[in-house]
Amino acid sequence: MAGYINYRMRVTVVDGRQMVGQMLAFDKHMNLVLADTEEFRRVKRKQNKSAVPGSSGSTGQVIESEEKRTLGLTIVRGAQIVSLSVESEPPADPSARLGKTTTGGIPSTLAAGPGVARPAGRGAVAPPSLAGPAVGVGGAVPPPGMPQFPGAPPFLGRGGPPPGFPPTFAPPGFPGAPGGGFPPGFPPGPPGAPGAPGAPPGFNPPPRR
Amino acid sequence: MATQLLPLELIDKCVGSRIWVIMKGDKEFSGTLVGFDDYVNMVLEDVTEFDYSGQHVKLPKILLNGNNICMLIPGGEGPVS
Amino acid sequence: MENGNPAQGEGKDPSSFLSEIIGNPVTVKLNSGVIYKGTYSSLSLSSGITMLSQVASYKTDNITTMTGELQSVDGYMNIALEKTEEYVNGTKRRSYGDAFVRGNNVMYISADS
Repeated sequence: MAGYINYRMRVTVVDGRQMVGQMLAFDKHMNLVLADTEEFRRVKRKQNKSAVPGSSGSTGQVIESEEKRTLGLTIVRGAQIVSLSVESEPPADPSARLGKTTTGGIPSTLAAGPGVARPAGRGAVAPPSLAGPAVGVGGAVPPPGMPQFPGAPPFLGRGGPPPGFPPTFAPPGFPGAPGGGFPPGFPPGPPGAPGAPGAPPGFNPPPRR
Repeated sequence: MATQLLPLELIDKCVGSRIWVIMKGDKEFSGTLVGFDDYVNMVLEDVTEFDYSGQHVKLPKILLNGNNICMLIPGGEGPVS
Repeated sequence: MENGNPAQGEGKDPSSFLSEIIGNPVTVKLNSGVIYKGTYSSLSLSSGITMLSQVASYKTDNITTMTGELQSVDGYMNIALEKTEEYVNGTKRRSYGDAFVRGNNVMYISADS
């Protein structure tokens, strides 16, 4: 499994859905962290009187279609996983990816911004407004000891982070300093990049094939 | 490097934030994560429950059995457009 | 899960939620979809609670909810309810004085407000 870190993996879960996303991490339960996740499911529908345009002469038949949703950063529970397969290799050139983010433009591919999981309803394609990081999202400097994952809403109602978590709260890989703890391929944004300096740049969509 | 950003640590970072929970089958919940345990049973507040039929139901506070949880999406507000 | 949940010493984890709602009216939704309402309690509040949801996404269509006063729960989510009402597909099916729900069937326990 460790050899597939940062690979784009296709994950099949018990109810038949498939999730495709870049595998950032896993644990002993095979829980996964996936970036830029897309969910696919085969949906069977009885065709009703209102025929689907474009479907020729299939009256009263069961239509099978594939529904796709863009979910962003997700955690998949290991208990529900049936199989994993490699969808594509990890993005080869981190610096090229970085350059793409720091232009501040919307990525050319249709993918959710970092961790912003807002599909436009089932089966719909995400509108362009959701295709990239919103202004200010993920831009805040994470408070010390409390690294935010990109795109996460601010922590609400918790009275702010306590001054310094006990060491157990910041395990290796979660240092308090922003920019740390991200696997290669997710370097922190360069100083002066759009967004606050030092903020994690978010997870770029990998190049589409 | 796989030990960085363990999945459950990521969930831990979500405590206090909105989270979107996709269950096995077609049920989904979104709410504010209050806490969870080793089984990933979750306490959620201001919850909306979504079915495949498109209905949603509001629930003030629930304890969700971790058994059927399939996927967690930090910051997600559920399948709303 | 050796990493535990260190941030949860504030009574916000599942077990403290459960101890908080003992005696309160609750809705329990089962995986089959059947819903039970009741009070989980020693307080025995009256539970004139309405059905919360009905769902048709499961193939069985036997969506069950129970409501009642929550008397106790354990680590398996086994639940004891008082003044229990059982709803199947949104329709009230039966009432029970006391009811025990085995934890493996429980999808969620909701505190009715």
